[in-house]
Amino acid sequence: MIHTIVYLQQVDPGFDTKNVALMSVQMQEQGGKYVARVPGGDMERPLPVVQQFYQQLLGKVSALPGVESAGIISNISMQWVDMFSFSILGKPAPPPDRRPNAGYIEVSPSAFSTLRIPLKRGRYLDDDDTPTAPWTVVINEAFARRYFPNEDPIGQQLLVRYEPWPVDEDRPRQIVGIVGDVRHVGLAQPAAPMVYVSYLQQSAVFPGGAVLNLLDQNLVVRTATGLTGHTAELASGVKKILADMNPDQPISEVMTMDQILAESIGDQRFYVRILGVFAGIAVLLAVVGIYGVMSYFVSERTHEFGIRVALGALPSDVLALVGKLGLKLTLIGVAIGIALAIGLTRLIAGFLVGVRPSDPVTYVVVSMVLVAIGLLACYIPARRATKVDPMVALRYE
Amino acid sequence: MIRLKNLERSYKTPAGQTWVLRRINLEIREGEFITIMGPSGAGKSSLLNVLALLDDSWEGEYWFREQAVHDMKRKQRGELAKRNVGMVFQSYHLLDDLTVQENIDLPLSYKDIPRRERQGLVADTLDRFQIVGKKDLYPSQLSGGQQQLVGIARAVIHKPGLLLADEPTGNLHSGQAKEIMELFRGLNQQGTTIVQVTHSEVNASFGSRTIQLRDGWLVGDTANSGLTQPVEASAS
Repeated sequence: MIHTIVYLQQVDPGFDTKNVALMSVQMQEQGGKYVARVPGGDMERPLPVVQQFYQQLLGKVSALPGVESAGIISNISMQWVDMFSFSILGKPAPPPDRRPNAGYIEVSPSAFSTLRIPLKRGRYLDDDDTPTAPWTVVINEAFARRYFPNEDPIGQQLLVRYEPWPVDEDRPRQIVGIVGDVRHVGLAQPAAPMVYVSYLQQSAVFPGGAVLNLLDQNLVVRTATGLTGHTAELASGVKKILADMNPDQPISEVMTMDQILAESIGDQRFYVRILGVFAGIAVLLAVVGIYGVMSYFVSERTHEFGIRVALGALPSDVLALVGKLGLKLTLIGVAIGIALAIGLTRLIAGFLVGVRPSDPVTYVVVSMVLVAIGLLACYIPARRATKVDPMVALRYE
Repeated sequence: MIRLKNLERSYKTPAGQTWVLRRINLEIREGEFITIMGPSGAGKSSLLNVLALLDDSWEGEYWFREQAVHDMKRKQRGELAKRNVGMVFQSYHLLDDLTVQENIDLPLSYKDIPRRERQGLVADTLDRFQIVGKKDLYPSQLSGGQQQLVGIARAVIHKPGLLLADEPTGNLHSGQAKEIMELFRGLNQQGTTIVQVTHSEVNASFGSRTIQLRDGWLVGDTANSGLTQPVEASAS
């Protein structure tokens, strides 16, 4: 598990997390300020003020001192992502239960540059992707590999559906670019196929709660000077902007992207702590056990040590004798432990990333550590054995 | 071979200091067969432990082949004993979980001797003591006399110059005792210096010299008829 944590801390998330801060901006669905109900059905219509709000916010935040760029992105939790199904225009429609799907994220065009998600082919979304222009979409490499393995995805058209509602978007989207893979569903998981769409090119009406994708956004800000010591200043600047735009607008605390990543592997850290505690208890019990057994062994064989010393054994010989027994016991224990571990590690295989349950290096290192601990545990009894007075020992029959 | 000069040994007890050896002056020459006698508590075994270099807590001078043992550190004394001293015990003190040949090999295992050479020495010793047929038996499968035979074989396998025996026949019947004592005499005739502790006059008769201890004092020595007995010992 420690190997897993180390691996996860080193894994490339697919973008540059340094100097990026994040704040959650949630517009209220109720109250009629941003969303209107469509009469005669479970449909909602975002008001134009929503996108104007984002545009103004990005403009003002980008102008803050020290800010290099700012963008909005509907999900950068690095733990999960909404999966929407889609169809590819010009291809036979798959059965309803076997529709292809992909992670769906709304972004401002500036989100790519702010997060430094690398462009692999084509182009990013840009300011020309307006509501009235042809709708576009940027996919990632995982999407291209899975759904266009032998053809060029650029220029292909997708029709995205608002899962779980059986409602397609108003218009198909043309693939204009391919970006690098970002591990949106977790650092431990391979990158999922993703589609990135512009927050400006959205349907006029949304089924049910699907409008929340548009209302719940994250403001991502890249600073030129680094975030250390500046997060409070940045948060204060953004809060003031929001307060000026809408005094009732809530905003979350500022988090750095590194904190988001650390939080995303919180489960693994928790498991490491729990397992660490149990492992510590197990090692302690082993130490106490070996110490007890060796102490008993030494006290039981005091007479023998006396004879051996009388016959020429030096303290180092006695130390070696006890040490060998301790080593033997420890090796037996380690062998049993390895056999059990090989059988049981498959139970925690699901928690391991970047390391196989049967990783030989881990087995060797852990075994060596346990042997060292075992030898330490028998050192005190062994030292006691070297102090045996042969005259006293030989007096006992 | 050995010269003790004003050697003393005492224990601290809650009641005060208890003396077990008092001003012992003794010379043991190469090839002697000495018997130490005296009543229980006279200090016989204590003297033997000092001679065996098992005991470090004495005062005075101890010279072993002109080497000043009293100036040596414990490890040096251990090395000296390992090379020169063999011990035979009243209760044999064989290790129960080792076979006869493993027991005999024990002193050699603490010397820097190649395994092949050790195996040869063990085979020779088994042959010499006529216990080849018992080499794979464990001590519990042997009679008392046979166990003591193994104990002696173990004590002499590394050809020590000095063989010390503490009541070597104390647990044996008279027939076995006689065989053991004959064996000692043979070893002595081959050049081994022997010091035995015994209560038996018969056993003492196998030796060439007898010394008497009483209350820690050396009060008699057949090689030194002019030995002056201390007042304390005479009074007791």
